[in-house]
Amino acid sequence: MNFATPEFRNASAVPALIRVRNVSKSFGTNRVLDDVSLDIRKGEVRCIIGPSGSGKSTLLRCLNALTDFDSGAIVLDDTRIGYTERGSVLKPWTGREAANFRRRVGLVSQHVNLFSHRTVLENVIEGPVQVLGTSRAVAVRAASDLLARVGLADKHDSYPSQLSGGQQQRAAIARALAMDPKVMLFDEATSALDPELVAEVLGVMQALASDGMTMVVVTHEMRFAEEVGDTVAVMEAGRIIEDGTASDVFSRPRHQRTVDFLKDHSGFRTA
Amino acid sequence: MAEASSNIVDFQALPLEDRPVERPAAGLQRVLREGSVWLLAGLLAAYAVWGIATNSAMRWDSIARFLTAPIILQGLLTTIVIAAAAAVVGLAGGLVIALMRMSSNPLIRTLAIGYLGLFRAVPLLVQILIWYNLGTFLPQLGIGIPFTGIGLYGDTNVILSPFVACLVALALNQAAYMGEIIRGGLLSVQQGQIEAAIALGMTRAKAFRRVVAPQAAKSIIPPLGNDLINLLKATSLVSVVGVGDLMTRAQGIYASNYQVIPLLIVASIWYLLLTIVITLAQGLLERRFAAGVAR
Repeated sequence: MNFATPEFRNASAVPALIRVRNVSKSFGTNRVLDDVSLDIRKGEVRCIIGPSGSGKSTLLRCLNALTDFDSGAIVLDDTRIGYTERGSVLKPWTGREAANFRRRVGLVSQHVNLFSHRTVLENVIEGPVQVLGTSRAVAVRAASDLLARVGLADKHDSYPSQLSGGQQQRAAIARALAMDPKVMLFDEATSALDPELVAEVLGVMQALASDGMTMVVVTHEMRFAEEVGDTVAVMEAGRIIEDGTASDVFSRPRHQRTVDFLKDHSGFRTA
Repeated sequence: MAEASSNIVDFQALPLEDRPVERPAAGLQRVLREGSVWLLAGLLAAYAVWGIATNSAMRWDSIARFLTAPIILQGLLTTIVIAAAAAVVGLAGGLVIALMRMSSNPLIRTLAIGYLGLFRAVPLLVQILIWYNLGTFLPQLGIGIPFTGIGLYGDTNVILSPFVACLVALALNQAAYMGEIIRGGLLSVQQGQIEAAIALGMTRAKAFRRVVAPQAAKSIIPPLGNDLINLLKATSLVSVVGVGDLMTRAQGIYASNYQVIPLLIVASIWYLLLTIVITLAQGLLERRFAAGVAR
């Protein structure tokens, strides 16, 4: 199976929704992002793979302005992340401006962080009602549709602690989708799950991809990257060492390190 | 079990998984065993109650009479007002102290640490006496521009009446303890919950209101109940400066009629009733904030 639409095989034809340009970031002397440049096109499933500690998650968090970076620039649509144009200068964001930006980017992270004091339904309507100002009735209707889409139609009134890890992660996806984001970021969304629960979450992500959602997916699931991903970037030590279509990266890797990495991970879920 | 005790050798010969096990006592055996404990406890309690009830020094008639005497009820009202005001101010102050203590600004953090150190170190009784006697040290109090003498000033003894002095002492002390209780609650909220709220597009203030505060409340409420009960009882210390609280009134009465124990029991009954009210309120709040706790 392959959900990639053909135009991404010729990626440069579609203008980039997100442009990452020469982004670098250090924690002390540790350079976690080293001159990273990347394009993410509308409707594309952009997978980022690589060893632990290679900077994948940090890059993803930069896209959501959860982490700032030292140099370079990231542009989403017409927004320069971190700055607002005033007159002819770019002024750093206020807290509210950063918050307003994050409405447009959905994040699903490794550790499921559903609000533990709210039911599944309340979790999903929290963003629309509290952040977007949607009326509760409208938000509940939209949330019901989303929960049905992720297979949780019967779990509206459950608390997160009453759900399995896979159900929690699917609810977290519904919560992010409720904000109607331009792009969805997945930060190792299945890494903390029991093996038998991984498939149900990947299934929801796959359905989302085939609906045309722009997705940036940091993952260790090589099969997902190969089959659902349109383009795959391989990171190592803060750098992108390889970037191309999924089929190119997996079947004709150019970089020896990519070959080694893929070999190390080939043991995983070769069903 | 009978066959096991009858033949030790057979028991030893059995594989471990086939050996009989001792079960908890059931039926009549259990009723007798637990019943005897209850019976003994009941006898002891009855003996204690009998001893107190028949003690001629108890003066039950006095206790009944003073329990609802207007002067005692006046004192009770004063106690409630002082405790409630100190609780409210202490809660608000405690929140400020907790946030200051968790600030990323080292100056603000140090101020909070200094406050906590000072107000938790000096005994409350000493603090009450200091505020009460402040006039002997600072005859004038007020606000104004430093070194200019411009501003509003007043006589310390007028501003800090005994009542206000006690209120200030209890509230400032309360703020220090509440500050640490609130900080503990805030620290108990997982970082991921805050990040999820931020990622959803909430401002820090909104994330605090919608996610952090309700989750922190869950772990703040039990120690808060403890602290409010302590505060209620600590109001009895204000009797040293004669503010007219429940304890002051009780002391005033037994100073003239010498019925010390009966009046201390009158005070105790009221403190007990108020404590029950706080405990019930704590239970209600705990249920209110229990949503989502793994059951």
